[in-house]
Formats: sequence, structure tokens, C-alpha cells
Amino acid sequence: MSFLRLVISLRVCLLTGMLALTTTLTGLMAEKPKDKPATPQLPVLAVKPILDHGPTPLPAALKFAQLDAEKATKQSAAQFAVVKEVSQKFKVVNIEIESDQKKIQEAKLKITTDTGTLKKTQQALKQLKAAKAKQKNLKVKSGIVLEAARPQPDVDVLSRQIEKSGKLIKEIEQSLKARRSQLEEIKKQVAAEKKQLGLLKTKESQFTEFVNLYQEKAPVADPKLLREVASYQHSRPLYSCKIDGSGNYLLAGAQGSNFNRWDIVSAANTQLAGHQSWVRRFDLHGSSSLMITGAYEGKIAWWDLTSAQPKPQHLITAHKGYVRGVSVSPDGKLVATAGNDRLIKIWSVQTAKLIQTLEGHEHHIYNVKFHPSGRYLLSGDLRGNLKQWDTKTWTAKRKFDGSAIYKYDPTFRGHIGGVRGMDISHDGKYFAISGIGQVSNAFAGIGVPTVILFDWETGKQLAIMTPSDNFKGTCWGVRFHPENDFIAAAGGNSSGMIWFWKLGEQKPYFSQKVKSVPYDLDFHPDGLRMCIACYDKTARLFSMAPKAPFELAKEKAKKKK
Amino acid sequence: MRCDYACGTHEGLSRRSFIGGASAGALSMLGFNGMTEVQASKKLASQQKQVVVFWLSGGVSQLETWDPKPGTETGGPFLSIPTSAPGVQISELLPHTAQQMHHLALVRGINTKENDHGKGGYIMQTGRKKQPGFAFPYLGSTFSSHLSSPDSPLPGYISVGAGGSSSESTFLGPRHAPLVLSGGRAPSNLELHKSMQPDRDQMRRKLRNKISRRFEQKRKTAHTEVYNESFDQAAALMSKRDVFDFSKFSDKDVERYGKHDFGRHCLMARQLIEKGVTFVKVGHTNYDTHSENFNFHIEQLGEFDKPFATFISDLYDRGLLEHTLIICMCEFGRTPRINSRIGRDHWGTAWSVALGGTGIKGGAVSGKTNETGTKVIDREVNGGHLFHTYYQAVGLDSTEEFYPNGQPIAKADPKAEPIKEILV
Repeated sequence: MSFLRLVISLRVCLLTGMLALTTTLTGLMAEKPKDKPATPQLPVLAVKPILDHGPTPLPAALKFAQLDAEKATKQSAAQFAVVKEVSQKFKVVNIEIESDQKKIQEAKLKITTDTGTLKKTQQALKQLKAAKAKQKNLKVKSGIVLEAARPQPDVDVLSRQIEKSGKLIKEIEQSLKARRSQLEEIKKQVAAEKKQLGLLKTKESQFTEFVNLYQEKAPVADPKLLREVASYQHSRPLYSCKIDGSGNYLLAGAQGSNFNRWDIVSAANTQLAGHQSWVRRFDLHGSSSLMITGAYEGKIAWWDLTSAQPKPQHLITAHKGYVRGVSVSPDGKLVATAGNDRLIKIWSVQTAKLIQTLEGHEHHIYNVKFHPSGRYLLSGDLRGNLKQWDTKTWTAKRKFDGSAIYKYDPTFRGHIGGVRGMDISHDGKYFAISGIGQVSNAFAGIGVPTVILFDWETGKQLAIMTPSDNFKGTCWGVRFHPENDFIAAAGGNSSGMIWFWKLGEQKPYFSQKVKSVPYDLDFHPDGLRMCIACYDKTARLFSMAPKAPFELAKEKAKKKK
Repeated sequence: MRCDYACGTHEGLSRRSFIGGASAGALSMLGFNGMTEVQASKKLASQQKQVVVFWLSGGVSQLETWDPKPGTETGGPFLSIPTSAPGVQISELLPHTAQQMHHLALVRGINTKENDHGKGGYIMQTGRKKQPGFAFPYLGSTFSSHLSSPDSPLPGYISVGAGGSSSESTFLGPRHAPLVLSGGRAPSNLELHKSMQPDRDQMRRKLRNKISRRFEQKRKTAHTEVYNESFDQAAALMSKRDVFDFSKFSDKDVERYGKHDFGRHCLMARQLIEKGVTFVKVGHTNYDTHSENFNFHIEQLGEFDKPFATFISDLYDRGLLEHTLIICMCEFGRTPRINSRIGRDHWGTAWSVALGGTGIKGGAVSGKTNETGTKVIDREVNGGHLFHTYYQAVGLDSTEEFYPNGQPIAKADPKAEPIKEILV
């Protein structure tokens, strides 16, 4: 019996083992389901070595510092005129108030005098009346003739005068109240304008210090010196940002329909109205003041940035659903847009007419960008599929795999990821995409902020770049430093970070926590400054320039404290 | 079916509650008189009232569906669109549903004061807050008990892609527990085993019945009754196996509903309603979008919109909408505030559901939220009001009581009343 049991148990073991083996083999041999993303490729490092050329001197930074200093000087002078004008207004209103107060005093004095006279008259009349009665009695008794009464002022006239003076006082007091509140407003305005003047004066002197510093030696950008130098407020979270080529404006799309243009020096804001939804992507025309924006309602718009109050020059329904990508060609003749309709559209910048529609992506397209040579266009979608398009034939030339920043989460049944940020180095040798990788919880956004660096020539991945700590979130934007000194990326989840990697390295050599989650970043054309667009409704300007004397003095003072 | 949420919770049906519910159901078989309100049920059965619930698991955003606030700080990036109901606008993410709004009514003033998945789901499916020591039956079991004919061979409550547990029927008994079509598939073993001939099967059943009857003569209990009933139910189900033959949908229908699970589940629901099933729950998951709310709503509602609208349109065309109540709901709405992950969190304070079909005034809107959707400013209602409304819509008196073990239990919360403005 026991033998029989043994035989049975052995048979069971054998069968179970075979079954396990079959299952394993089947699993290994099974074809990958089409919908599932491929396992992310390991970074193919050393396709060709990227030499760390060290920090590059940025002589052009002097020009921008001078521009800022000049602007600050001009703005200070203009602001001084504003302060003078408002102060003058303050004086005028103050004089008017004093005059009103004087009028009130005079009227009050007149009332006092008239009231006195009235009282006296009334008393005299009363006495006269009494005397008359007395005399009447005496006359009846003794037959004496009555004395004639002295002439008295008219009581009614006096009463009317007093009433008139009272009304006048009330009227003046009412206007005085209005004038006083006007004066308070002007007082506040004077204070605000004076404060702004002070700020501009300070900036003027600070920029002058930078000019002097850069004149001595061409500066280099050092992320380790990263510090916030200015901030710009809006009423909604900011969602995209760029600094225009002239270095005059910080431009930002928001989680709202209004687009923002801030003067970098004075922080004066102009709201650009025309879209109905959020602007996640926009691009600038290299040689003019033209900006083209794309919004989530599916429209694209042309704007002239030099206009005091820009209005859309063209407003076109370009895509069905979100517009997620906008890129102006290097020669400024074409603009490429892409969106949730899985199409890339090529438009004439000059006429705003559609030239070409590119089909091929099977999922929402998150980004599009022209190669600096103008010969190619790069696009990336939700699943990290990247395509290189020939701008002569408008055909897809190559595909790249960016699926490390995409995942289908079977638990939540959702596709998470996408090419959230994309940039091509200024020399056209590299390109990078950013997003969220290694997602463990799609609906809570738990994953690793990831940048993938590619070599343009070979199309191979050079590095998958992630934070050095356990930071979780999405890398919303990525930018090559204009001189390829480093790659910067910004992102977060509930808190925000900026990371800096050397080209080809997998871990950042410097990271900086920021006050709120940044959704986009851009470099100032001086290569020393960068801006971010944050969730806390603030755009922030950071500097990586060498520290000016005023900054060092401030640090020293802080240390002493 | 376990349903995970981004916030780490899962649908609140623990093993303990399952066992508790199952035993409560079984034990109630003897003492429960409520389910023997046969007269009312028969009358309703003759009118063929049916109910379909679309359960958008995880909590769909009211701002991206029924109560859009475009252009406001909380409105998100989407616009609103006009619908077939004059003056009623819904989110642009539901273009097909917008064309069916004349069949639907919106309740925009819901405040359940509950932001927990399990508790919110309980309120919306029982019309009550959870109370210690007592379990109210779920909507599907309740309507199965009220609207199904007692001798119907079909289960009264079928869940398609929405999970479900035997504990949902509580004191109404296992007969009204959901038949869960797991993975959207028909119940297994509906066909006789190849080796079994029908006449032989018949003989086998007769023998089993005979033995059971003899056993019951001396030892009849709730458990034995339930046990025997399960055999009868299985046999009845096998005799109606054509109801579960989901292999004959036309290519055109598959195209219209979409070649995805939800499209197929809607087609299955249509067939089940056509075949006379009283209550069908169709699930669509997942809407627990703490991150990337807008991208996920594009994705999920992009899948939901067309099949849902097609389902309503088909029911109307086939004359089924006249006696079928449609409820589209979830456990709560989502926060008007957009968080730093571009997500929306749980929000039971001011949100919406959509109703349609029998007893419902198409195109009607009840309740109003403020400009940013943070507060109900007109006609605030809760799960209790909704339950009264469901009852009234199918012609039942919501003020009646159940009598489990002789104790009166109000069918719907006595503190609430129906939302009359959306009822015909």
C-alpha cells in the first residue's frame, strides 16, 4: 500500500515538474503581445565617447548683461517720471483737500457768527415783545405813550443763511471724504511706484556689476551656483515657458487660457488673450518677434511680441484635441504642430496655410522639433515612439525607441508616460527626451523621472539619465545647454527639482530642489540663466553666472549674522 | 473582483465581510418575510421593469463629464459642448453621450460627504452610510428582489466586468446575490458534460431530489434549502444558456460598440436586458486619477462615451428604454482643485450622476454647484435621495419597509426623499 502511495506521489512530483518546465518554456517562447511595451533597452554607452569639454566661456553674456543694464536704466528713468507724476497728483489732491478744509472752516465760522446774531435777535425780539406787553398794560393804566422799537436783523434771512452754510459744509465734507480716499489710493500708488523705482535702481546697479564682471572675463555657466534671481506671478499654475531670443521677455503658458509675457527686467506683465485652453507648447521665430502658440483646444496662434498688447494675427483650428507640439523651422519658414489626433501638420509661417500632413504615429503625439540643420523633424508620442522625418520628402526616415518612458499599467488599465520633454542640441549631434519611467503606480504618478539621451548620427541611446536619489515623479522638460556643457531637466511630483547631467552620464552631477513642481524650463540666450514654469503660479528665473560683488557682500553679511 | 486604486485602497469586500454576508443571506432565508412581498413583485414583473448600472470605478470626474466648468481655475483644459437636451452642456469628452442627453437627466448636487472608495461605494450602492452590525442590501440585489419574478429561471442580478460579491444581497438571500460574469465571459459549465446524456442527467437529478426530500423531512434548515436551491438555479441557468451565448454579435454591432472590453460588456448587457434579466451592472475602470487626470480621462472616457451612448440609443430604438432605468454612477467625484501631478483627488462634496430611461425626465437637471464646483449651491442631495429616486423611477414605493427577521427596515433612508424634478 505504502509502495503504491510512493509511486503515486513520485508520479505527481514528476508531472508537476514537467508541467512547471512546460510553463516556463511556453513563457519564454511566447511571442510578446503587441500592446505591451518592449523592455527598456539598456543604455548603449560608449557608442562614441562624449568628451567633457568643461565649461565654455560665454562672451555673448556681456551683450545681454549690457542690454539688461540699459533697460534697467531706461526703466528707472521712466519709472522716475511715473513717480514724479503720481507724486504731483498727490500734491494736487492734497491742495484740494486743504482748500476744502478751509472752506469748511469758513462756513463753520459763518454759522457761528450767524447763530450768535440769530440768538441775540431772538432774545431782543423776545424782550421787545415782553416790553410791549408791559407797556401796553402801563398805557392802559396810566395813558403813557410807547417808545419806538430799535430795528432788528431779519430772523428768517439769518435762519436761511445758517441752513445754507450747513448744507455747504455737508457738501464739502462729502467731496472731502472722496478726495481723502483718492489721496489714500494715490499714496499707495506713490509707495508702489517708489518701490518699483527702488527695485529698478537696484537692478540697474546689479546689472552694471554683472557688466563689469563680464567685461573682466567671459563668464561660464556653473549649475552649482544656481540661485533664484527673479520671480513672476500669475493667477494660475504655469505650464510652459521660454525666453525670447532678444532676452527681453519671459513667456509662459498657463493652466488657463491667458498667455503671459513678462519683461524680464521690470517684471511688467502683459496677458495675451485668444486661446480657450491651456498652452503647453509654443515656439519663437528665430529672426523676428513672432511667436506661435498651440493650445489644448486644438488651435494655434501667431503673435507679434513687440506689440504693446499682442493679439492673434492668425488663430487656426489645427488639430482635433490637444495641440502638444509646436516647432518653428530654423529658417523661420515653416512651423510644425502635433497633437492628440496623431498627426503632424506643417504650416507656412508667412501665410499660415497648411502645407503638409504627416501620418504615422499611432498614439497621441507629445512633442515635435526641427533639427537645427532644418533637414529633419523629430516627433515623439505617448508610447515613446520617436520618428525622424525628412523635410524635403516629408517621409519618415528613422525610428527611435524611447519606450523606457512609457508603460501600460494593467492594474489601473491606463497608458502612462509619453515624450513630455524633447530637445536637440544646438550642434545637432544629440537629442534627448524626458518623461516618467519605471512606473509602479500610474494613477498616483509614482515612477522615476527619466531623460534618454540619443546620438543623432547612429540613433543609439547614449544614456538613460535618472536622479541619483529615490526621487519620484515626472521629468516634464529637458534642455541642452547652448554650449552642450550639460543637460538640464525639471520635474517632480509633489515637490520640484532641477537636475544637471554631463552628457553621457547616467546620474546628475548637481540637483537643486525648487519651491514648486516645474512643468517646463528654458535657457536664457546668454547661457547663464534659465527659467522654469511652476505649479505655484510662479515663473522663476535662475542664474548660474559667477556671483557679482553685491551677491558676495550679501552672503558675507548673512554669514556674519 | 479585486479593484485596486491609486491611493492604495481596494474595493471594500473583505473575506470576513464576504463570509458574514453569505451567512446572513443564508440564515435570512427562514426569517425574512420582506422578500415575500410577492404581490408587488409580480405586478412589477409583469411591467418588466429593468435596471442597468454603469459603474465607473475609482470615481469619474464630474468636471470632465456632467458638470463642466470651462475657463475657471478648477475647470481643467476641456470645453463644454451643447447636447440634444436644450440648455444642457456637458464635457466635450462625451460627444456621443451629448447626443443622447434628451434621454438622460443629471443630478449635479450630490454631497455624500465621503471620500473613501469603500465607504463611498457602499453609500452609492445601498443608499446609506455604513452602520456597524447591519448590512443593507446593494442596489442590484434590492431590485432583483423587487422586480424579478420569483420563478424566473434567470438570475435577477448579473454583473459584467464590475465584480461583485455574494455578501451584497445580505438578508435578501443568495438568490439575489450577483452572478458575476468574470472577465466578461459566460458562466462556465452551462453545457452538459460530453459524457452525460440528457436522459441520464434527468435521472440523476430525480435521484438527488428524492434523497434530498427524504433528508429534509427530518432535518430541514436554511442551509439545506439554500443548498437545494443552488441545484435548481444551476439547472434553470442551464436551460437558459442561450442568454449567455455572447458569440453571435454582428460585426456591425462590434464595430459600433468598439473592439474593447467595455464595448463588448455593453453589448452583453444589451443582450441580457433583451433576454429579461432584471438588473445588470456594467463596470468601466479605472478613474482614480490622482495623477494625469486629463490624459486618463481622455483615454477612459474616449472608450466609455461611444458604447454608452450606443447602448442608450439601442435600448430606445428597441423599445427597451421605456421600462429600463439607466444609472451611471461611481463612488464619488473628483476634487475641483488640480494637484501638482495634474491629477484630481477624491471628492464627495459636490458631484454628479446621470440617470435615464423609465420614470426619468430626459434632459432634466437637478442641483447646481458654484462657479468653481467646490460646493453645492442648489438642491443638495445624497445617496438616500438617489435611492428614493431609483425606487420611484421603476414604480416602487420607496417609503415601504423590509422585514428581515420581523424587524422593520426602511427600504430607503427615511430622512431623504425622491428627486421629484427629474422624475416623470
